[in-house]
Amino acid sequence: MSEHLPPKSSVKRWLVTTNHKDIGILYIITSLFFLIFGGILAFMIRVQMWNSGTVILSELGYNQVVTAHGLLMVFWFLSPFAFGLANYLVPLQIGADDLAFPRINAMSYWLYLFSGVILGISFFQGSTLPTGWTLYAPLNLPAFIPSVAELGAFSGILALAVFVASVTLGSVNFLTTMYRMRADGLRMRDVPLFSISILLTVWMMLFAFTALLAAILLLSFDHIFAGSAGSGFFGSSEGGSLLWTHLFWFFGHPEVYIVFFPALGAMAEIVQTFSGRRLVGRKWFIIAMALVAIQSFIVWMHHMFLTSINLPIKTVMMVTTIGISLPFDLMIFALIYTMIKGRVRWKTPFLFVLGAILLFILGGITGVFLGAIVLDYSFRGTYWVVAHFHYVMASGAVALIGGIYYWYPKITGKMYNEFLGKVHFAAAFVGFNLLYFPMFVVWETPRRWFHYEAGFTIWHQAASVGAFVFGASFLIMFYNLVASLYSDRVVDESPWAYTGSAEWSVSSPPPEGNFPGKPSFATGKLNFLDGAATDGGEADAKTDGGVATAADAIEQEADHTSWWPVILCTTGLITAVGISGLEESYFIWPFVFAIPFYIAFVGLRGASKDGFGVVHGLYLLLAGPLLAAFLLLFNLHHGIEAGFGQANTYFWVTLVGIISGVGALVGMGFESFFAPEPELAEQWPFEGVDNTKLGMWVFLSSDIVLFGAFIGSYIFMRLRAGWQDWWHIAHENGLAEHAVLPGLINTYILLASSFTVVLALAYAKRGDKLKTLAFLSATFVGGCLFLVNKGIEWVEYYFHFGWVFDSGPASVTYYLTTGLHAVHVVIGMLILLFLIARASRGAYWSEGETAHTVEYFGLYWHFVDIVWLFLFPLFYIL
Amino acid sequence: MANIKLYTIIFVALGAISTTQFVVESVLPEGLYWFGLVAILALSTMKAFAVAGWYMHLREEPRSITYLAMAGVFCVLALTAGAGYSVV
Amino acid sequence: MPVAQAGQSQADVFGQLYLVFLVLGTIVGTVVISYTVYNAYKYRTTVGDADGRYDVDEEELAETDDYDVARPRQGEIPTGQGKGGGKKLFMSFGISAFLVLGLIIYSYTMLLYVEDTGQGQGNAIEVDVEGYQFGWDYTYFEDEVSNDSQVLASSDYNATKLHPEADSDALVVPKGTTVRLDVTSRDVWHNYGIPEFRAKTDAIPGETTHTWFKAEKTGLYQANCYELCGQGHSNMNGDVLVVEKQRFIDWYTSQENTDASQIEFMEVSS
Ligand SMILES: [Cu+2]
Ligand SMILES: [Cu+2]
Repeated sequence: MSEHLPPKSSVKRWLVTTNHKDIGILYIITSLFFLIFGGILAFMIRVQMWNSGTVILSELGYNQVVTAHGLLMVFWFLSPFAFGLANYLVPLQIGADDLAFPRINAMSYWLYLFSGVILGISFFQGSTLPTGWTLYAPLNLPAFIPSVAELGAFSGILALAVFVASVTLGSVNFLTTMYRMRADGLRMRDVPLFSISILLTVWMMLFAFTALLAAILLLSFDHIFAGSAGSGFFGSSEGGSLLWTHLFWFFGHPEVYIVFFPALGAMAEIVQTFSGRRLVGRKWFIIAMALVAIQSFIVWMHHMFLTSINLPIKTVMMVTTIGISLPFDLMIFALIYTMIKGRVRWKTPFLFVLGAILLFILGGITGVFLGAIVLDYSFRGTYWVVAHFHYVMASGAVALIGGIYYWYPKITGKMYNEFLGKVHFAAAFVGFNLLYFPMFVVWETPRRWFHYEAGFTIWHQAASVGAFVFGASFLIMFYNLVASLYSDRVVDESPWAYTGSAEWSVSSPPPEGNFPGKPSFATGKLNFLDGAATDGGEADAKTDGGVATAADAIEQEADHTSWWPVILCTTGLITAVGISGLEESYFIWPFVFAIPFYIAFVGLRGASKDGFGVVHGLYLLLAGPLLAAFLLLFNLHHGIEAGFGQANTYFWVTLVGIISGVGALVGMGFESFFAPEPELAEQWPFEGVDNTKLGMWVFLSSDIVLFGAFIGSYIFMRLRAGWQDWWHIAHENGLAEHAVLPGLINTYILLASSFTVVLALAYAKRGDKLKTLAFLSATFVGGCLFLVNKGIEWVEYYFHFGWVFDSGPASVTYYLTTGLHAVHVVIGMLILLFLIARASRGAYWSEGETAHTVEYFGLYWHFVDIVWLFLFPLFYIL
Repeated sequence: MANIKLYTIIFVALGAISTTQFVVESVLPEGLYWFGLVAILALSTMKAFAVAGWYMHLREEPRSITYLAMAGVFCVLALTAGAGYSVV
Repeated sequence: MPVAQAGQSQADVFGQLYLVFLVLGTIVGTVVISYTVYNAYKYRTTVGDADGRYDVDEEELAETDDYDVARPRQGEIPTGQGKGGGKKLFMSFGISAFLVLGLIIYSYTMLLYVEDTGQGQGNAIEVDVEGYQFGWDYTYFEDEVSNDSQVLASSDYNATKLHPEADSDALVVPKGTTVRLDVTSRDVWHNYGIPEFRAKTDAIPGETTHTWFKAEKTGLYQANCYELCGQGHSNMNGDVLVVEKQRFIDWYTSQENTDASQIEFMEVSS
């Protein structure tokens, strides 16, 4: 299977590559493209602000521009820019060949790119989101979005959803890699600071973005079911508006550090190198960062000081907010003191980082103003906030630009032009301050207004000039970075003096397998151990919790190419574009129709891959009648002819997208792709857990947050409505009777299905194929029973009682939370079908893999069971 | 076979606890609502620990896997408690 | 440092606190930034790049290294920092923590004052503010009156009669009297703020928030919307008209639907 990477000059290379260095480059280039995109929008804002009420954009246009500018810069530029560097550097810094899941890494990239494309498309669907990047409810709902803008607005929301998918996959991947694939002897605390900062960043991403996903899923519901959902979730006058801010800022504050941390890591590395001194208080620097990462989840309400939250919680949040600012003081002082007694060279990367430190000091001090609630009351919604967070965010961006100059020779093998680099810095630094400092002076300008007091004009014009200078400075950078590629300034391993981390010990650019031998720090410094391959193969007895990989892994070479990530993500793009314009009554149908196709694909692909077996015949036989049954249901709903005749284009786009999507999913599932786990690696604290299992647990941990956010929303709404009045209100709203028994029955069913999975695992471990298959099938039947029981309940409530989505907070939370759970069950069942097909043909048995695969699946299934164990009391009993 | 026996015992216990939850709800007088709430949620937590501990064999994994899952739970509790408290 | 005293308005409190923060912030900022740049400059190497390379030669510099600090080496495990820095780090951390905590505790006493005054009972003009796309509706003393028809709403009066430049639906308030606002929204999220009086609060559908102010000068002021609320956001402002107490009393009692007992406290005090 192992196919070598095509040369870099071929387009194919960049489509099929799963190599972390290639993907890093793709990330960097793509994010710079989005920087230009967001930058042009920023120009439009500054032109509109040239005079009070200058109009080059309509009011709707202006709102779109401020929204898209914010979203693009925060989501599609800053984070991915950092993750381009992270993709390239983290494996090099920790001594790994690649990330743990290379194909998933490629998927992260394609999902990122396509999510940006969806946002771009939204501009051409009438209008993109006009709600501000914070998307406050209920302005983010169809009822308040001008009808011309609804299609594009929903596209914008879907773009965010796809982006979150990319981020979640990336977080799982990076966490697994960094915990399981460090070079021998490299303890976590000794990992270079940039990688440490990435580790903490992905931890925050894992949880924060999942909270955002929950908010986006709920918001998507409000958009899709705008008709029958009435005021929906966030339009509910029972706290819907406030709930959005809770969910958004629970994500939003960690997001600030998610954006800033990689920059901090880059700052630390660059200050070390160009001061020629190890970071002062390195240990405390790391501890401070870790503290911030944890604390970032308990400060979110400082964005809500003027809402109706009570004074005690404001006080708590004020204290935690001030508390979180202190570790930053320590980090900044550590950076400053590192320069003392240093060998400071004022090269371009250092200049950028020095500039970033200065900007951050200003951003930090003006942030303390905002921490004082009384002052915040007046600063809220003004240009003080705008100026403050631009100082902080741009400090991060400037540091990362420094990082690009710093690692440019490593990535390209060529040195950039130092003089042009310095010119870029000077122009950028002057331009930036000219752009944002005046905003502190005229801070009384209300945010997102383009009308302001006459006296402010000169300051706003200065800012606009600054924007021009700042923007233009990047042209110098682009020229420099491109032109230098063709220069003769070739560099060796480390063009810089005083470099410490491992990426500087290999050639520039590094070889395809990253290292000339197996990297090891066992002797106290980096050595490359001999050995033909870079993966596995050492007979070294000193394994600390080394993982038992398949016996033949040693000879097998790692795979570096796959078409499936780009294909699968393209189908995702098509589906998302389709969904944006899908009519409410058509919404579920493309997904329902895709199920029989999936089953048929598993049958077909399985037969050709594993050899035809009874199970494939069964699947193919099942798919046809199932499709017919669904068509029959569709006929009942719409009438076949009328239904398909009147379906809009978006319906067909979705259908094509999702059906090819399940095809691609099956294709990827059946592809054998070998990504070796290092046999000799530092794996604290996850020794003895293989990569896939750890990945699964990381994913489940984020899924806990997804369900948790749904359940938390329910509890919030219920507390707000009066906890014990809840069912009373529901009864008034049409719920004739709320029965506990169906919930109890479903609890039994799910528990039983968990039991059968665990039995399947027990038998798989013993190699008893028949019993394994029997219990897997029993689990599938359990899932079916659960769904049937659930379906009866829904039909009873929805159609017979008329307790529809719109029947108050109790109904909307009930349907959405149990619905999300049911979707998890369906996904589990589809995976089961795949598993049964493969296991029955013995695909895994020969490699001893069945037990592992059943185990991973079991973890997911048990998790879904556990969620139900809480839904049962919360939505049925209490 | 030891495993399978243990799994069976746990399964039966889980079923029994669920039944208990159902019974608690139906027999408890209104006045003891909050007591019942705590009891029922505590029983659910017990069940969750049983499933996670034995069926997901968290007991046999390195403790750090448990901490990983608990990190997610910490986020959820922070969000729910914070948001809930802010409006009561 | 000045502390909040009874009778101060939000504008006074903000003014005091802002000044303290601004002075301290400027001092700290100047000191830290100068110190950073000074050190970056002071410790720069004067040695040029090594022959054919893009940076200095570490080996060469090592011969003249008088400092006992840890310098990064290729392929190292970065443990140990050498001498220096650690103590200083904690000293400056301690100072910054002291400064920030002190400031915040100080500002918190002011917050309590602001919140207490906002929460107080009686002796204030109570106005309900309802935001809508794109303007504000006012209702006077709504909570105090049992019958809806007895309340004075901005749709019922014409403020232009009081001031020729004021919008007819301006908020009319007396000078030197505490005005308490209960703010909500009819449609989307807005934010009601009168910059002159440093009164500001969110207008959220389904929620009611509070703020208050005391105007010391008569005149025509502006209330702005500080949260993006749709197409008219950039122009969403309304007039706030401050008049002499007696003029307010006359105006208020001359309106239909008003109950003079609501403002008795003003006559007593004036
Ligand atoms: Cu924040
Ligand atoms: Cu507005």
